[in-house]
Amino acid sequence: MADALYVLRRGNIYNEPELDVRLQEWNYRIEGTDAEGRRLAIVFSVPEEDLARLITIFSIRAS
Amino acid sequence: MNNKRCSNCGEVARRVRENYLFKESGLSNVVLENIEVIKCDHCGNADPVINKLNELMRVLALAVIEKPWGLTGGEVRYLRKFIGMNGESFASVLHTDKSLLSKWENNHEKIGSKSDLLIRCVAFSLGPGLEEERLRRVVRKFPEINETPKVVPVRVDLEELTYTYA
Repeated sequence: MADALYVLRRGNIYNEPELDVRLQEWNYRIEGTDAEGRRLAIVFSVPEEDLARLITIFSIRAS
Repeated sequence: MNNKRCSNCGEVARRVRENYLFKESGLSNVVLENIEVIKCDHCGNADPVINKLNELMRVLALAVIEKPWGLTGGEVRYLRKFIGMNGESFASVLHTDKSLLSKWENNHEKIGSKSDLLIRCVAFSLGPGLEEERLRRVVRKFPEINETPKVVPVRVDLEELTYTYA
């Protein structure tokens, strides 16, 4: 969770949100680095006005 | 509104209030008491609803710093991440090397009592939003800390933002 918060505070959104067809929610992806310098991506949605749902967090390998 | 859909399988889920073992915090021993959880009877998935995440992480940091037992590796890692430092920077602040810090965090090496106290002091000095007066009280309790590392269950009241050691 600490890694997710770190990226949420400092990361950026580079892509358009993707629609989760099953849940009819837009999924947003934030990319950034954690404190160790590893590139991470966080995917979240906003199902309610005051609720954000953290869907997943994963590392991005440099290509 | 799809808030009552399970985020895992998409089936209808229900909102209940119950205790939740907050392993996602990075600590294995934290129970959030009586919080809202979106539960799916279909696939068994449970999503906790956490209203004050930043405050919660801060309260957990305080709970670790105030713990009357030696720090475990996971707790050292939690404090380091709470203050947003990588291993190298944190090790240099502690005047130790990165590999020893890694051994501490992975419970491969016992943390000396003075290093334990230094880690707590650095964490509350650099930790965002920690109350000064409360921290003074914590430091005064340092003599009561048992040097033996021990995982102590922590129960958190999210409404009051208080914690107790079980």
